[in-house]
Amino acid sequence: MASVLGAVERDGPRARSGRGAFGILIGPVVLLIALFLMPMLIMIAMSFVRYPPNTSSGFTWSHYQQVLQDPINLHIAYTTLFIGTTSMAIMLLISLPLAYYMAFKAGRLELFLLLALVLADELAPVVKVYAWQVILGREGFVNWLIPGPPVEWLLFSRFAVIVTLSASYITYTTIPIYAAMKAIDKSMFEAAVDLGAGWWTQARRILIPLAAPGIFIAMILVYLPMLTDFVTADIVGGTGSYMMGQRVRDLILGAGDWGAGSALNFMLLIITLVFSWVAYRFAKLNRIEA
Amino acid sequence: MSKGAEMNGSGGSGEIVVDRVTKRFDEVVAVNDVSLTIPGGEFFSMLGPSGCGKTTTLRMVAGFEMPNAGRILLQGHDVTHVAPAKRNVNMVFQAYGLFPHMTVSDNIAFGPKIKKLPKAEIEQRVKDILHTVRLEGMEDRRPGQLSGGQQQRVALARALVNRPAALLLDEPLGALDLKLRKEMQLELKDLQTRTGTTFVYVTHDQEEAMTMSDRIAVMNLGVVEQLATPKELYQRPASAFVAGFIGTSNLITLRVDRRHDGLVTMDLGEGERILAPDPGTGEGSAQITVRPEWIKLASGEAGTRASSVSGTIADVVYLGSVTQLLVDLRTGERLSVHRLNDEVDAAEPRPGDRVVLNWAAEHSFVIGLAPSARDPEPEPERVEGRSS
Amino acid sequence: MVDEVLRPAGVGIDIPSPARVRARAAVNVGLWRLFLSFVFLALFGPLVVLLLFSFNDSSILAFPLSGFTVHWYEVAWSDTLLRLALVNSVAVAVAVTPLCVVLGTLTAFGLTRFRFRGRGMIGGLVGAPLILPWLIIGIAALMAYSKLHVTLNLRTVIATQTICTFPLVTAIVAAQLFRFEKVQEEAAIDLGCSRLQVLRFIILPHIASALAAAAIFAFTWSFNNFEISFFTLGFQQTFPTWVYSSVRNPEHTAVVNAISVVISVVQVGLIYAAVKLLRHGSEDETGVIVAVAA
Repeated sequence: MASVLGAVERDGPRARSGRGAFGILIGPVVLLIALFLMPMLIMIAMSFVRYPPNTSSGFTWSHYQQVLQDPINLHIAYTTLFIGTTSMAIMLLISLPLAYYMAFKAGRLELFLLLALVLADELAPVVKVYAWQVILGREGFVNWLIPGPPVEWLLFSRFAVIVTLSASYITYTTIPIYAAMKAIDKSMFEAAVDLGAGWWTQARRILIPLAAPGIFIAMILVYLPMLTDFVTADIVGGTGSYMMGQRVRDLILGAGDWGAGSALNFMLLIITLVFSWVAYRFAKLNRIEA
Repeated sequence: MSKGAEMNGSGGSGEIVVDRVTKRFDEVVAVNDVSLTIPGGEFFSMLGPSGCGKTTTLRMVAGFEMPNAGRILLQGHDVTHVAPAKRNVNMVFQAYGLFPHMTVSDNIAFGPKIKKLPKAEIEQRVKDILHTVRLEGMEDRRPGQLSGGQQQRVALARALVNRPAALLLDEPLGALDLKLRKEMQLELKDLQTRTGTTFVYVTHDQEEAMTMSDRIAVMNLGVVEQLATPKELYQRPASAFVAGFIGTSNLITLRVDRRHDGLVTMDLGEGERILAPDPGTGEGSAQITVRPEWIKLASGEAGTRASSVSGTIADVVYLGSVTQLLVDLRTGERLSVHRLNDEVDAAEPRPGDRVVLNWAAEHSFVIGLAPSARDPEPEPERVEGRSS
Repeated sequence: MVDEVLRPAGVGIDIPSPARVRARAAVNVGLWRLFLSFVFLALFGPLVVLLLFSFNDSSILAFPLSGFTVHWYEVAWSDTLLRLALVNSVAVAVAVTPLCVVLGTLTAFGLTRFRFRGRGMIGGLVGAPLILPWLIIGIAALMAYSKLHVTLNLRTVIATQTICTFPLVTAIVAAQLFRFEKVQEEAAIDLGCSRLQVLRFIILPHIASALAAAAIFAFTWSFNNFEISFFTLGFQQTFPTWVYSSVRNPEHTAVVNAISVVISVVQVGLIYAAVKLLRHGSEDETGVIVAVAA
């Protein structure tokens, strides 16, 4: 997705000032407006309508007040943030060394690892999540390995959600970081070693700062879907892992509360946009042109 | 008779005229009122540093850029607003622009195919041109499987197969290593002679231009500084820029103390002087250039029509066939002097030695009246660190 | 005269014994291997477990495994609901893919090869469906459809999935278009090509394999998409929604295992082909794959 934004920043080969662009882009743009932008606007409108979907019932801020004042929402927001941040941290712990290995050490394995990451990512997410149920279940693989009575908190818990989310998004965290590291000139490490830097200094002073753009992109790619995830939480989560995505879904489909649901959804939308804008800015700021 | 030959028209002269052409990119003037006339069959080079407007001029001849003012004429026809595809000139690009998904022969046959030449003729032409550029047996390779020099030849063949009135070459040897570049220079010159095609060659490498060209236009900051044969450029540079850009050159500011016998003289005392032919005009001082190989270390009394000036050797640089001496004059100027190493184990001067330099008055070439304040010299010879 | 600042400080080299160097290198390699195995376990372990259970002679998902059977594959084959869900998923993906390829390619051309006012805005609009979570898009679509009294069915799924997926094609094709050397186009024009001939002989061959790969990615994205289908499907089911509703039913899980294995194997083949195509299209092997993912 960053590359679509990137497409706008760079000039294509033989960029022309174009009337031709109109004819080419009119179709996609009209469809985007009709099928993407307009639904968004309808959803936003619903969050201000007193008795949605009846638009003639007048406008109100009450849905937002209701959403913000409900202590349950606050609690859910906290849970979601906790799960998201913990998973993100775990993923970075895996992705940073993995990306480093791929970019600098893998040799012929590099392409193989890349392929593996893409493959793992493109398999049906629902199936992958479900598989963790089998692994973490009461009579699952992990409990079979661990001696003694079955550990109950492995499944239908925050733990299960964190493990599953972390495993699901390794591809999305690793590849942008790997791409950023790929752009680093290897001789920089040689120079650092020559100047007497140990591996920790190299990582802290060269690798991480130069890979920062990739890390920020990874955060856009991963944080946002995690904050709105409900499939993982539904399948492997429990009462302690009720997340924002589930809340929105349940408000709309379960309780039929379009007002609160769309208000909450719109707030998530705003958070998403602000977060990705900030992360994208940071990524660009930290990019060092070779 | 082939279509290509018809297109060449008017006796296949291949003459190119660039008539008072100006090109601006936004506010930057890339080419400023440039006029060139390139007769058919000439190997013509445009030489200059990057950003001097040489490539832009070439691209205007090819049709990839439109001039803001002026005209381009090919064989007498005004083609200023004719699309590149419709001009019977072809271009060889610096990055070659070979089509990676096509074989060598498909690449070469591309132009004739687009022009819908008969199949048999295309085959014949491809065969001939492959022979000309010595790529027989490579027909079915892809560009990715060729060496840099071979890719270069495919690019040449792909352009020449269209039998263009003129071939435009944009630093075509820039991507090759030095040795291959030297070989390709000779090959290009040979190819040009054999085909009789007008070659317009853009380069920033003065040696390359000197080796191949019939005439060279030295460009700087969007204007032509001098248009002349290689020999003229070297011996009679029209400006300090040309003198500095073509080979190494010494620039000396000559204060005119005396004029006599068609010479101007700067007296430095103790019989030392610098002479130059009298340019006839101007008062005060003039700027002269002297090639390093024309300056000799004095072995006796200098003739009356020779400059004679003493200095201290600052550095000695062994360059193989010659040794370069950097000599500090008492005027504060530093001269580069080349001594031919035509004897094994000849005695070498050392840094710190005092020497007297001579050169004939005719070897001082006046390139202009010196400005009163000292301008920064183009391409000065700099040697870091004086030994004390 | 040597500058005092530059005077060598004397050489003090601390040379570890060769044995220690070797030992440290071995530990290093060992640690990396361990780490990579762990990553692979996280990535593919779940699927291996599914594979094992799909041949397990018990409907209870419990270790240790009992006997070997292909029974669950037979059950899956004859499950009509499952078959319907698969047919729906394939139908949606078959409709979505060509739409995405056309829309995505047009957008990639428009955005990369022209400069015009509002280019940034359109780029943002195209990129937005990729950045916004599908939950948000799905709910907005659901509200819009019901507000405008559009009946939810496969058509609504196709419409919304197309909007969410074609920007992916744009990203892949745009990446390949950026890779395109302008000089090739100029060479073709120089050799007498019209704009249309440049497109046909030079640019299309250049992006052909990227287009094919993009089509495969669009297909799998559509096939795998859960959120959009979940919100815009109405009473029908696609394969992901069928899995989602079946995993809660203990009697169904063994069937889910079997069909998941089949689907995954097919997808591995497709994705492998797509990556191969992308590599074929460019000398820089890893670059395009990165471009797809990022």
